[in-house]
Amino acid sequence: MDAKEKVLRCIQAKDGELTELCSKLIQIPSTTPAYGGNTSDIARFIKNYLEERGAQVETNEFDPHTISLRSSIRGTSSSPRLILYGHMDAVPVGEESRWSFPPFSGEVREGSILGRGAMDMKGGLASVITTYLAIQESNVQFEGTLTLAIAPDEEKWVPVEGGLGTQWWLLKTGTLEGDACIMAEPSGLRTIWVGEKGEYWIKVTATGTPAHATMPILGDNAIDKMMKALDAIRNISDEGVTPPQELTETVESSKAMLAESMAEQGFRGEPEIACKMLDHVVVNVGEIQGGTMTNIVPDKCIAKLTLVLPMGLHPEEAKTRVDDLLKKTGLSGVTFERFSGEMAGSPTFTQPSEKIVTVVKENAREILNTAPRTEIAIGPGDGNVYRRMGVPTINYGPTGTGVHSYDESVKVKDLIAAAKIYGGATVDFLRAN
Amino acid sequence: MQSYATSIARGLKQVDHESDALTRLCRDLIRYPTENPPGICTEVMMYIKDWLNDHGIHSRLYKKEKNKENLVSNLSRPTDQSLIFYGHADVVAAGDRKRWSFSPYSGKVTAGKILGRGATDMKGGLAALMFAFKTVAQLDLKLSKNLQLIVVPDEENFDPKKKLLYTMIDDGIASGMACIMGEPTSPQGIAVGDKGDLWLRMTAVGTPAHGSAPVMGDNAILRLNKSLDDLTKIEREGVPVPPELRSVVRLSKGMVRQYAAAAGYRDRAKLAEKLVTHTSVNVGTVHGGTMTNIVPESAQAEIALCLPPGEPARQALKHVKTLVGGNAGVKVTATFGMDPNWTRPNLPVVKALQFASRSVMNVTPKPFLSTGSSDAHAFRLRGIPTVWFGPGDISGAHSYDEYVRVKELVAFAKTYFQTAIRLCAS
Repeated sequence: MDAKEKVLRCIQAKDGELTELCSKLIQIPSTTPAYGGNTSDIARFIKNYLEERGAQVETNEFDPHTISLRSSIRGTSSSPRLILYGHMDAVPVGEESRWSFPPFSGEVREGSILGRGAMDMKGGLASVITTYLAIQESNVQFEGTLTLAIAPDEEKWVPVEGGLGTQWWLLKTGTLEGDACIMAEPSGLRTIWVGEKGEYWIKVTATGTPAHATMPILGDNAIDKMMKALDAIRNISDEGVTPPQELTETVESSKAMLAESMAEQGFRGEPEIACKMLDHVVVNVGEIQGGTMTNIVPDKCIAKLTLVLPMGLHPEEAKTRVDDLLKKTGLSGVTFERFSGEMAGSPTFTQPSEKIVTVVKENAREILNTAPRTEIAIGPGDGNVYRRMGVPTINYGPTGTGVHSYDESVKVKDLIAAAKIYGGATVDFLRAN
Repeated sequence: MQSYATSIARGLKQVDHESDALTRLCRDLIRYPTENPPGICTEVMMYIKDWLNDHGIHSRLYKKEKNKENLVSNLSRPTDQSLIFYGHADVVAAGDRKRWSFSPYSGKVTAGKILGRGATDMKGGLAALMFAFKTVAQLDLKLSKNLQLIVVPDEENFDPKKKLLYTMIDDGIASGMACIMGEPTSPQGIAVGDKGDLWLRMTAVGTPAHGSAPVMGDNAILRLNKSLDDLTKIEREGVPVPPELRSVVRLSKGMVRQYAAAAGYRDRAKLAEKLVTHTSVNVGTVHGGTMTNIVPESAQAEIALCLPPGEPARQALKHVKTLVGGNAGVKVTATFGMDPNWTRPNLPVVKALQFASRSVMNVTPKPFLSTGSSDAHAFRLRGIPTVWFGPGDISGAHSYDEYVRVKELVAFAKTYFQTAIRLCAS
């Protein structure tokens, strides 16, 4: 039996355990610390889970709510080094009444595991943990190092010494090293995300002049101005962005897949709208706050927006575009600034020809009988951090429904398939035998 | 017993002599930061009570809610033939202190101006009314009708259900043949009509999604934005003026235009005029969303509509619903409504004020329709003719760097005094 077969059998044997692990991870609330949550319970659980199965786990406590985990198995030489990545934090539940099941249920129902974080990404996390343990248990010989890295703050990076984000700190300080990384983010198993968009978050401020509501013309209504400004800024999505040459094909093939996968997740709009997201800026007006009293013309209104930048558009260029759009409105007293500027960054990508891409593709073909396509992710994440720190990175993992929304779930059958693909890819990448 | 003419002359002279005391009174009133909300007025009411008492005038406090004392004082036995002087002691919030060039509650007096939140709306008017009231009291003069002073703590909160004033009128504690409110008008005009109010809460519900794929959700803020835009269509449609007010429309327009010009908005004259016969919309507050990178699932705005005579609140609400009722995920509810209300412009209280103003200030104020609403509603609802006439103009109210001129304060105190003698003597 060769190394890969050993590993795959070991993973197959863990099928039931894997589903159970995912359920259990969902049942431990782990809202992102920056959103008022705490990941210490889930970190403790995962550490125990790994240690009970013979792994050595190292922790980095950034604050009492923010603990990252690492575990490594060393091979026969110093390279190559492969990182299997998962994040254990999840976005807040939102309005509980809009869930049709308890958000931390972890129930397995009709082929899905239900609960907050199921898709993003406790499903994928359970899969990488399982793969990692299988490599360890199957005692295969390999070169280099396999590291399991589990992040507590992917949904919103926490401040760390010298910067932002636990993964940034770990890579920056050399605490975590890798020549490639597989992140088990929910791309769906037909898709490898090789690129992540950039982000540019802005805070828009409209300043007006107060007056009594009975004489509104003596004032300038900051909310009215803001609404006009938001309409103008949103027009940034009308102008296309040309991707870098080496990604032209990837962007184009992403379009078709994206439309399809979004339809699967319940998107009912025109496919063109979905496709546009890959070479246009995506704007979300996330928050707004203005005024103090109903009968006073408000003198201040603030809105916070995320601009997600497609391949080829840098934050500076986005800033220029927003500037121009606002200027065209002729509105006075409307300004914007980079808000939470640390989140801002250019899009990043890993060349589709990189080894980490090809080994995952090959192994997916073996397990699923069809090779996944390389695509651009619709949202940014820790992949941007890894690539900026020089680690070729892909996102590839189980999918489901309800990401960042209600009634989140992940497909059970994706979990085991993903774990096997990770296992096969690990064997190939680390030249195990 | 002196003749009325002599009494009037003496009283007017006395106010002139005591202009420093009037200035101090206004300054003292401003120094109580009676911002509403919360509108804590106990201390200022105690001050007013003591001040009256120091001038030998008895008063009583009424309240149904803690810190919301209403003060009533009568110079003789109250009847339904009393003349009412009305003032309110609360002020709106000072807002962003950085945008004031002076401290809003210092009551500083400089270059003939008294500065501070409420100077215009309406501690200036209140001080002038109180001063006229005590001047009448100090005269050795038998008036055939009672003069009543009412000071309320809660004009700025708008909701009649919460105001003791309505009950006090129903119970006859506040009662009269006419009411003069010291709300700011400037000497140019007497406000005989109020616009009505319709306050709305507009709520938009969306579907959350990750901010990187907003098309997967429905953005509640954008839904709200669209509906707010639709709502403003109501501003374009004029409302026919009730016949008895037709004569004051033109003047009212001129008045509003003048306010706009005085406030530096000469270029908005046309918009200003429209306020008299059109509904106006103020989106006062908005909030929505919880996290920047999530498509917001709810957003809410609080909106104040001001309704011209001819557009009662119920009718306006129907109108609003036709404009935004069909919008997906958006709901509008009325949180407060008050019909437009008015007093006929040819009544004695208007004429007496015009006469007194002409003799004191050499200005004949013209009746006009205000663009706002006020406690006049309470009096008019019970058939008491009610007008506003007070120092300062509405353009300064609720804004930064509010002030009132000492000269105007004195002139108004004299005008109130003379009007009271004239209306209460006969």
